[in-house]
Amino acid sequence: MSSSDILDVLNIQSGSKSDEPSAKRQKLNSVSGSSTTTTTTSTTTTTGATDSSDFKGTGISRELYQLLGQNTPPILLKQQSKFKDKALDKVTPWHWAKFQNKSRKDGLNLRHWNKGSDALNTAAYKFEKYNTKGYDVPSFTKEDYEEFLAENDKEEEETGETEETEAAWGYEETQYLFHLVQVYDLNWIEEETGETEAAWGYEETQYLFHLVQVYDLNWIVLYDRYKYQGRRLEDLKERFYTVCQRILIHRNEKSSTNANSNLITNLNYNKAKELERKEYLERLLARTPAEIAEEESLLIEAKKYEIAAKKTIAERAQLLQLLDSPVSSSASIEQYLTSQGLTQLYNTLMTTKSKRKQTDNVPENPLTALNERLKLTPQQVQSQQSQQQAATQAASSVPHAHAQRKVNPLSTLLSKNLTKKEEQQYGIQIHTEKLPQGVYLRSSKIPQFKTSIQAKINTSLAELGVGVKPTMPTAIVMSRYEELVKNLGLVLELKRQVDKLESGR
Amino acid sequence: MAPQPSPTKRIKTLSLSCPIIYGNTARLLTAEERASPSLQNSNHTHKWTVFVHHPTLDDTLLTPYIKKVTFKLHDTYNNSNRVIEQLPFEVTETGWGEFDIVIRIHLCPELGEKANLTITHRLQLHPYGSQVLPPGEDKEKQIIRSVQYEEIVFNEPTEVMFERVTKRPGNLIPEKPSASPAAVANFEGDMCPLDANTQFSKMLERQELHRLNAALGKVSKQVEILRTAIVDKRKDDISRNVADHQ
Repeated sequence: MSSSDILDVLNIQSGSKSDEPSAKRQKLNSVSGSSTTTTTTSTTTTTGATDSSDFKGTGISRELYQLLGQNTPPILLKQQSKFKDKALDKVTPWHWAKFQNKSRKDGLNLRHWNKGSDALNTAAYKFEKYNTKGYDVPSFTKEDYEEFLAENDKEEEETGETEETEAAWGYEETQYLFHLVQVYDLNWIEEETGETEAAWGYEETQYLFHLVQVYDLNWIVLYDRYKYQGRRLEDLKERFYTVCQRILIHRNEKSSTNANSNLITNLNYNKAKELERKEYLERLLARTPAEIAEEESLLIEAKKYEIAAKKTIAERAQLLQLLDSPVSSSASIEQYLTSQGLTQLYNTLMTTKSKRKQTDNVPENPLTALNERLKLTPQQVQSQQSQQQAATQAASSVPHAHAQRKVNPLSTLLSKNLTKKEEQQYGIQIHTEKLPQGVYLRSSKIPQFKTSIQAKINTSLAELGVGVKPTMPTAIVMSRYEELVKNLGLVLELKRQVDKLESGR
Repeated sequence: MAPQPSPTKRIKTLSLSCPIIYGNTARLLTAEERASPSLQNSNHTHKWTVFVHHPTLDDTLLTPYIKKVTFKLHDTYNNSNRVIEQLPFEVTETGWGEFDIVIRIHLCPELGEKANLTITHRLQLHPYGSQVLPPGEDKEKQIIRSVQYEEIVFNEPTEVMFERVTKRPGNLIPEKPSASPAAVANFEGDMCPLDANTQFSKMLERQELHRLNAALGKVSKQVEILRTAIVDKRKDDISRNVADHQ
């Protein structure tokens, strides 16, 4: 199918044969001239000459251009000028600039390539801000040390000794320790007896402070390089922090100021805790794959239990709701008229009676008891109180029973002797129903029916001038509302039965 | 010395109710507000606030048990799930359409209550029913309120909860609708959620009870009528059966 066929189908008058190449050229020109994506298919006749040298603007070789024929390719041919434009931009200058790193003390001149002209490169070295300035590690002299540090050390040792009096050293243990000392050559870390630490001397402390400054508080590195004596990393840290703290306190005492009080409290280093933490981490790392698997399975098991518990709670709630639904005893006493019905009634009554007896023995809720007490007349209350006084006196004679009595928030509340009104203020309500524990919204407890019945109930509610939802769902309103809705459900049920009886006739 | 209240021990046969109100207020944007560049969308016509308050507007009564409130706005809003962890629990936005806002009340974890409470509130921007002003009145200044009363019930509360709530009486509702004009006057912000005349009060509760009682009377009468009808029909059926047999 050629383009002339298409033109025929579309009922478009094509020009004379000689016009066609020029039309095509027109298209190509319009495409190549502007880089916009125009897909004009206009067949306007051009007035220009029909020389074939026009292909030059298209970026196609002449041979290819001639091969194109009538079917102009639908591709848009763009002039590739963008790239050239960019290349013509000015080159940004880079400069081989001199610079000095301030962290070097020798004033060595280094060079690096820098963007921009030379004049702009007077700025300071870009990475200088990352130079560590070093910490303000407090220093001390031999005199200082003798003055307060050594003293403190002694004190500590003494207190430490008094603390450890419980674990008295026996002959065997001491012998064993001395044996270990010989074997490990005073390498206290390896020994891990841990009971007695080598005391810190002035030289060692000074050495530690020196290292701290050299290694910039990089404790791991510091620990690696520590040559003085075998010590644990935590020992080093503890020593450093406590000494720093003491120095600061000492300085404060001297100048009687309260500077760095924050810092002083922050310098409290809990070695025991730190050791424990590390031990935990190591144990965590040292878990065998079997242990890890066991842990995971336990976690899964726990989740399962949780889900099961939730399920049972939900099921129980459902059951309770079922039990709550209104008793539709439409047939009144009729069902008890037969002898069989009578025995059944008797049995049920007996069981409820026995149940009630059981509950009577259960200790009652203190708040309900209070309520009952409030209902009594003042004289009765007085007589009861005198009885109670006698009882408490009797109880106090048995000191054990008295001490075991727990004081819970309920009793503190009871001491306030709430009246009915106060109870209302706090929103407290005492009920005897068995409702599921937990929190819910009051209005969410509106009894729900099947959608078809619910719609009917809603319409009858509207007829009665009551909203679908109560406007103030307080406890009393909700109970009344519930009753109303249940009764409406009952009405619908009865209506259905009446209809059934009528149709059955 | 009293023992610490336990978060797991529950006080049997007792329930605590804590009243809240939730809903929204809305008003038309003024001409200046609509022209201001801070408005996110020029199509917006209303300014609205969705909130959870205490009925007396004294929100400090909520803090013992509510930790935070999240408001799930329409998806077209930026950051549509708004979490409010501090008083007041409210979100103010501008908009043009009404949609359902899911309000989720997160209780303090120390209370030992796992459940969160979810309320769906339909944002109301336009007046209807009695709120519609007669023509000629100034609609620009009308504040539209759609406020619901609700009670959070802690059935068999944990001792912690009980202790917290009984520190201050929190279930106080004013006696009359216009009993606490001070609360309305002291409200910070231009749209108070409570109208001076439509506060949730004991009187409103009584009115509702009255309505319900009247309805209940009617319905129970109907129940009686239907019951007697059924009994009569059964008797009829039995006698007819007997007659047929004879």
